[in-house]
Amino acid sequence: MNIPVYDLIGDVCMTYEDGARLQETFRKAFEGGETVELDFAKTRIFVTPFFNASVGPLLEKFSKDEVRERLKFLNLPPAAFEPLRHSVENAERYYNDPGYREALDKVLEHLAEEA
Amino acid sequence: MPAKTIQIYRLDDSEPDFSRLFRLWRDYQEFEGELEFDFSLCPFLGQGAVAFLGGFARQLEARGCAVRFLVPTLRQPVRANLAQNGFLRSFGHAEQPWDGNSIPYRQDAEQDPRGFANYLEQMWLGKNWVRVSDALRNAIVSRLSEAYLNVFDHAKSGVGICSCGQHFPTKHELKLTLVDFGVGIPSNVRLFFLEQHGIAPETLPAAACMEWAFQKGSSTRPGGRGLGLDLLRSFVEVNDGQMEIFSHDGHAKVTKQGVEFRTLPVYFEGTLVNILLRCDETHYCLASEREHPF
Repeated sequence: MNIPVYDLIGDVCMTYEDGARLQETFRKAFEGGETVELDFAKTRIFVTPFFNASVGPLLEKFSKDEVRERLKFLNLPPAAFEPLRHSVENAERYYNDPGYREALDKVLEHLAEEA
Repeated sequence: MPAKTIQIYRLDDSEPDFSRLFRLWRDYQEFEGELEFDFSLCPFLGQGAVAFLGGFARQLEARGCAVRFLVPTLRQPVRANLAQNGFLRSFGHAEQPWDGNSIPYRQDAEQDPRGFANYLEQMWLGKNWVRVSDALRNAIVSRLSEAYLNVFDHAKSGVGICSCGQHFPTKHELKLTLVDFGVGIPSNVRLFFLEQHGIAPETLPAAACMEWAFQKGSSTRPGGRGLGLDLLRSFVEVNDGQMEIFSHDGHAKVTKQGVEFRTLPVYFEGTLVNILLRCDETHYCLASEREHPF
């Protein structure tokens, strides 16, 4: 399965909502064992929440190695490397450390309520 | 009741200058009535002071105070700067902004990451001040947008974020300041430690909270929001920039030598981020496309 990210999201990959929209397009295929290619040609701007929603949640069910093996990033611009790596590392800790997850959830829910 | 007048002196973006602003806020944050800012003794107002005074005024206005910037007291260079960057127009004066070394004053009551990215691209980097490739331009906008979202996540101030920038052509530097008057980074970090480890908030100094927020892996969850600053820190460090963050009495300063954390004698309950970037690609280093991202 190949997904041209620019056609779906545009050149600015910033928001959680856009990241979630991207994941909806491939989650079922990925969970079914398919290899998914995300083609980032023509995309330019990247912020962590986009990857927190599009890639991070995969770490709940799959190991980092498996995600790395079956989720391919084509034409990924240099600006995307750090936020993507950051999202994956944080998601790995979040799903593997229940104490950390619980504390972070409470704080961030508190932030969301107050915002 | 006559208006209270605050005299503003020279304010650049040094730590003592920010401390003076924080003390001013401490003294007037509960003020009720009419407040005026007199600039007759102010020969220079840096972008950090512009952003801070804008947020200061908006916070008081939100509580029903009348705040006035006394335009006739502005010396010509300061007046030109405040007119050029749109600050005066934002506070109801007729002067129209124009293109120059100033980068527009901006207020975001609501989170608008795309709008902020456009601001950075068009108003901050888009004037050919910075000799960088498209790839690096995109990386700079991406990392600074991360800072914007992070400040918003710590804000909860209602008034949102005020920002302002400045280009210094002889030093080849670009500066940007973001400020919010919300609950600050240490509040959120203390809540995290209370929840995770049962550590009493009063036992964690603000500088220690800032240090935690800068550590790798301290930050976001797959749900989108975050607490951390490590991504921005590494970008500034690697690329020979500078960044200072003030929140509560905590202070963090990032340079290419690393990060220093201190506890200051002055307290500001919100968050102020002051960033300096170099206008030359030779200072920058980007990830290689041959690497795997994780």
